[in-house]
Amino acid sequence: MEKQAGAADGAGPNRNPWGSPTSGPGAGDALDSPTGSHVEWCKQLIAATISSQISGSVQPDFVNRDNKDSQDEGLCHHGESDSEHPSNALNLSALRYGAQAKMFQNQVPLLPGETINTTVKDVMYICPFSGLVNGTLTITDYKLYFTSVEKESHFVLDVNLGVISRLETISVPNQGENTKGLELVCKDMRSPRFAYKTEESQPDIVEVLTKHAFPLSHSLPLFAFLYKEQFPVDGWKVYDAAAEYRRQGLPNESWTISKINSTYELCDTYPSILVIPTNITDDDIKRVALFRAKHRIPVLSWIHPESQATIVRCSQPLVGPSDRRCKEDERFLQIIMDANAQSHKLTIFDARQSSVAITNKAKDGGYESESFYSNVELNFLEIPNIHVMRESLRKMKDVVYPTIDEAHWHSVIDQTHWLEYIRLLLAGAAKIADKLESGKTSVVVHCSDGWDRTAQLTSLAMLMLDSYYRTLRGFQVLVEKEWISFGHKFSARVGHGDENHANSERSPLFIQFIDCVWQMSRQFPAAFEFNELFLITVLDHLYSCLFGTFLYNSEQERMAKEVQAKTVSLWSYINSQPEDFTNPFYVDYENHVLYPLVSSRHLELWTSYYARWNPRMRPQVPVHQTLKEMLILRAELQRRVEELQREASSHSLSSSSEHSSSPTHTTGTPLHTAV
Amino acid sequence: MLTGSKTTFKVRQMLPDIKERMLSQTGVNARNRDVLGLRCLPGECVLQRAVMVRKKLTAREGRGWLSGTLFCTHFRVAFVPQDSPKLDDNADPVLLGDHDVALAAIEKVVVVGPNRTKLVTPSSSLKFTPEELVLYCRDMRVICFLFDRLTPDTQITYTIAKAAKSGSVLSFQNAALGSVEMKQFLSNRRRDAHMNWFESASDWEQELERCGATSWRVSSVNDRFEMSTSLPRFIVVPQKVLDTELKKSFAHFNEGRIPRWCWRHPRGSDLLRMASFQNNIYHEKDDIRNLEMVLFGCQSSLCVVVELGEELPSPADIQLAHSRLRALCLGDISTSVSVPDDKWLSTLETTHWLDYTRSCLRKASEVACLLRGGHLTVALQEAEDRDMSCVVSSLVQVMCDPHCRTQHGFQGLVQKEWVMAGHRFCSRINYRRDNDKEEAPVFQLFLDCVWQLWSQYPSRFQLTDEFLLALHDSIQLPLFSSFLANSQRERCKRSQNLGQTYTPVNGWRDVLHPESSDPSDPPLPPVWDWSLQYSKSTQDRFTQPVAPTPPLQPLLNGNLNTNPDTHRLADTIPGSVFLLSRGTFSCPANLLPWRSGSSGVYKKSHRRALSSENVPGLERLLKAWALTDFPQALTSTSGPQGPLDPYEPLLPLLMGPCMGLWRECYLRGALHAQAFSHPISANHLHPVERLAQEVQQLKDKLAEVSSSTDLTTPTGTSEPRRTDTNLNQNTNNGTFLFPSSRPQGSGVQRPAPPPTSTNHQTSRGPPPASAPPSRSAHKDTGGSNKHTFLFGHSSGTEIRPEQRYYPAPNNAKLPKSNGPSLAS
Repeated sequence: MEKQAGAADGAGPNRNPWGSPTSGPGAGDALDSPTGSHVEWCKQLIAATISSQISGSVQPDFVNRDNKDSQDEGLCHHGESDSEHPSNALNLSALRYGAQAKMFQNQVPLLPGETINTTVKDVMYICPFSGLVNGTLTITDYKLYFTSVEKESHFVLDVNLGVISRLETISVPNQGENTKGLELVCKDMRSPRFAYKTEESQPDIVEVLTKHAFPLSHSLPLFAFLYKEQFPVDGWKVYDAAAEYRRQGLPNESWTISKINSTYELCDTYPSILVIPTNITDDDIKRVALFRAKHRIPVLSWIHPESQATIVRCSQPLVGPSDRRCKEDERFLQIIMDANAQSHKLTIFDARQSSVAITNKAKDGGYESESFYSNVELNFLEIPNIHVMRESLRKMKDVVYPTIDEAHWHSVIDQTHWLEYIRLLLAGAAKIADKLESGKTSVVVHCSDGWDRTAQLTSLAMLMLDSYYRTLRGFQVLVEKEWISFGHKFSARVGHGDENHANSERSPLFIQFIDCVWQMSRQFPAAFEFNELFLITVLDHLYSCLFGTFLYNSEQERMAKEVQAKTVSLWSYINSQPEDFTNPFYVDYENHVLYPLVSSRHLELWTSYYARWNPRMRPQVPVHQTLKEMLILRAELQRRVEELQREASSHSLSSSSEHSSSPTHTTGTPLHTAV
Repeated sequence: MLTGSKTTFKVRQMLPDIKERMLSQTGVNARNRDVLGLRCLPGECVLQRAVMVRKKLTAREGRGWLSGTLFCTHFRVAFVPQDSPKLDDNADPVLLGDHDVALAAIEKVVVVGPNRTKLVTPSSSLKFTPEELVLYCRDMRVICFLFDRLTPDTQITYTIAKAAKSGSVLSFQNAALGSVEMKQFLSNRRRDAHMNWFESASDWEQELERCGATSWRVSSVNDRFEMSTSLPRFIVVPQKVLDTELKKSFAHFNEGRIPRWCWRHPRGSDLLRMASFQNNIYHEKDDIRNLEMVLFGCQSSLCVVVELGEELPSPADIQLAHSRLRALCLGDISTSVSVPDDKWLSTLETTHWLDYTRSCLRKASEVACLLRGGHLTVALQEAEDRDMSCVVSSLVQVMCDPHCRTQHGFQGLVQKEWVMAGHRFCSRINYRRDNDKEEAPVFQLFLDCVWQLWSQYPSRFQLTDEFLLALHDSIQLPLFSSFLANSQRERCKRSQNLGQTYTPVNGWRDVLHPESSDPSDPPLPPVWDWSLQYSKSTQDRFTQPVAPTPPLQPLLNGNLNTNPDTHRLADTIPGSVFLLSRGTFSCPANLLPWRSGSSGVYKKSHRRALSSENVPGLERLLKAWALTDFPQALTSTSGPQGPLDPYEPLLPLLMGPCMGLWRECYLRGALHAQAFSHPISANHLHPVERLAQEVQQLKDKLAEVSSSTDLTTPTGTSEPRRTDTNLNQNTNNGTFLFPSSRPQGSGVQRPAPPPTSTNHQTSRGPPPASAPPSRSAHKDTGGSNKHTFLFGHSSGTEIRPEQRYYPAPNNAKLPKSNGPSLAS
């Protein structure tokens, strides 16, 4: 009960002790600034999205009271553990003692391990919505922190450096000779701009920023390696490959958990633990590896608990222009088909456009020929490549930031084609899921290298098929497994700490995946244990370089860099305060396969993520609170009914009207001390 | 966390011999209860039946298929699921079951065969065996039935097509309501006393009372519709204008629709609506005095005329947009070609439907901001004053008045601003399909606007989108007196049975049932009689399970002028009038025809008030709205500072991403959208609904227990009362901070939050039939006048005075603040 009450009062800015240190774009008390406290802001954003599904209510004074309480609560906390959470203490003082707020104004909340590099006064933030704001800019090795005292409402802008894609100088008219303009083009759909005076005495902002925003290009460590936060939960323990395969019922007679790649010799981008067919020799596997791009052999990702149909992932076969064959590869797929007694077919889903697959043959790649592989059915899912996706998101940014076109909003969204690609992904994943569930047929999924579209498709299909992955923990396992361990090149796709913003390796594939998950959660609002805040938080820390979770390209690299020992996992943060990321209306639809509607008329743009920097996009009502309130109300009523029933029975026993002696013991202690 | 319920989906296959048995068992004309489970209305005949049909369920119904029996009667197409629970034979008749659709609502009947699709007309013949039957409805539902593959009963397709096409409005009405039993049943229905019907003078007085509009009075000058045929019998005009003076004003307005009072903002502004001026008329001195008095109402200083014609869509525009939207959402019916997916949003944009909702909401927001400024009169002017002024005036009230966001308040609002005000429902809906030129879904546009507001501020509404949807769908049933006339006059004529002079409706006189002793047509119920259409459980979903309870401060009757930054427009020259058009104010010389130069008389008796000094003041009021675009405004809406002013208007965000498509309404029919039609989570309640149900059950239990142990009566002392109030407050806040530790059995004594709908009713006291309560009484209950409905499921019972909440002595105190002290 206590727990739920705590969860409900999330409106308090200092609700959780880890709230501010980890928040990406904001860690302040500036509720009313467009970049206010991250968790807060996101929560408010969520409200709007849940609201159309669910009607609910919230009492404004409930929010109000919550705030007070959490302040009180936080204050105690402050007293007890002041030294551990300096940032918290700061926020508290600001909130609690309004008059003193100004004294603390220039202090910057710091994370454990974070150091201030430079502080520049008289910097102008060029707000696209309300004009110029004068204030102080602080640059640490993790973030850029801008505060202003100019307006009556304290303004804070907090941008973590990992999110910066590139720095651009801009011209600032009418601000005097030696004023320079700077635009931070960010990966998360915003581009804050600043104007500042160049003076001898002050270090050059651009220089400091460049150095710390792109540490790898300047031989500096990523901030994740400097971050010293201690969490009560260890997120690195979330994923244990062997345990996950055991959960799926593996190994069994057809499949075995193999250590053939334990030294990453077979395939350097695969994890050390692989599930492969039992009836195949190591030599055959090595030959198959030579026939598959980047040696990414077909391995099992998921097995249906009833039909034993499997999702197998790999890379394209190296068929080449001369239609090479590999007997071992053909036999390998035959064995995969045979492992599933329910079907005498095997379906290969090639995520690429068929034309691209054909041109790949010229580049020594290709696809499985149905004439060489018996009983194999080949489908192309016609999904464009990473460059198309990157361009689509770039267009999207122009649409949502800084201004939103009112009259032509829908057509410009159409022109980005973003939703079209989301639709293709969901439709492809639904086809895969349907093939397994209804067709009871095993599927092989690949694209070119088997680490981009393949990961998107397999993970989405698994999300549809397996309700475990729809839990908070299960989803973490899914991401760890299908994306991180199987070598989605996060480092290359995101460009962590790298200043080469034009690198064509970059592409928002993981964002697309999270967007698809969000679309599904919109269509099945009760089927996911996590909420929208969770998804937004994951995306924010995809860029932030605060946690080690998404760093580097492969398991092998992560082992070499000792990521687990030297950095903190994002899941440590999440799982230390799961109540904030939990959907209060989660129902475990066990054994239910979710087929989302994939027509674009049932897809929506995730505006609470893409357009969240526009202050006009604020949601109106925090509905998520209402939902929790109802749960609390139910619990309270339940308790009260029981109480009264007890009381009634005691009444009937005593059969007297001595209500003055009615039991006080039943109405004992206050239930919600925390509310 | 909710516990999971495992719902499995099964499509039971009936064995052929069972099917045979079923077929042979029943005669076609069985009354009341068919063996296959169709409960007929009195007098309803089954024309055709098809067994082993499967109905495709929508996403909202849980998707998948439901097998059962399909019926076509001469009133509806009914579908009875196989395992539907046995109905209570003694229950009141419900016109339409959950899976039924009225014939009058069916627009097209389409069958789908192997590789082809065909529109079925009564005369058409099919050259293939249909597998699917698709009914396209006027309310944008698309209902799909799948025939049994081995023995398809496809004859029913013709029957439906024939019945849907041939029936006139009257025969449809007779089929539904024409039987003696139904007539009797309907004549015994009692009106919902929870809502204001705006039919009698006392209804209007009650509204004046509610709004605190003291300087207005109800005039019965139009009692016999002599002044204006389209206005209601009672209109509200300034106290100081006498009826004799008033009579002279009618000639100066189109159709005699003079400025009438609609609503009063608690800060003292009045909302008026009127038709355009009659121009070619000489203004006598007395006329001018009267006109000025009528127009300026009780605000002597400032009047803003809001011209609605220019920026808002015309009915023809609305009709075009709606038909495009319809084509887009339902696809091309006969060819089942639909807009390609990658063009969907662009095509949606080109319908302009969302643009029109936006422009209505924008106009209403502007008016709401003006009214918030206080102490002025806003007069909505439209040429005929029967379309967009209905939309804008009612939207303004939905935005500003929390009462209008309750189900009953909203129903009253529609009565006031649409039904009574003479929106030409009958022509606009075009039931008889004989007047396509006039057809325009103006009311549907209004419902969409309300839905936009609802979706942006769901917790500020007591009504839900399900209610809006039910109302939306009811429009297509030509059964309700609310929609079957163009003005109150027509309605009165019909109910008084003055058929001879009753010209606009031709079809009603050809009585199909000559044996009927009653010469009149079937009595038409109002649309608000929801039990005729919807089951109790559906009606429960019309209101939120936990109703919104903005912390209303005790409402000082009327002039709640607490706005700290009111720029009083005091320096205004009395009698200033401005025109608001395209977001700017102006005072064109010919705004009021009698003031323009040609009239001449005006100059002598009145100062010209053409100064534009006040324009900045007014523009500031409008800017207040623009300011909400900025983060500063966050504090007032979601920030922790202070309780909300309940009359602070709900100003919608109108940016592209914020204007949504009412998917639950328009995309119900998009059947082709689903990639795979696999059963997913068939037939389970939405978790929120289930939670609400659980809460309700617990409440009921609680009420049960407390009534069984309720041995105390409220004592006169303040102590138990206070606890009582605290508990109520807790209920309102939905949090139950602490159990009472009072030994006085407060928990026992506490009345379970009653299932009344709105506390307005309780505080209003006696039912509307009797005299309205005195003003002082109203004030006294001010403290409790707090929308304290918790479970707003209207039980339809009469008002029980014992459910009234006691005003709290420590009302302002937050429960939390005295929680520990009580508990310790």
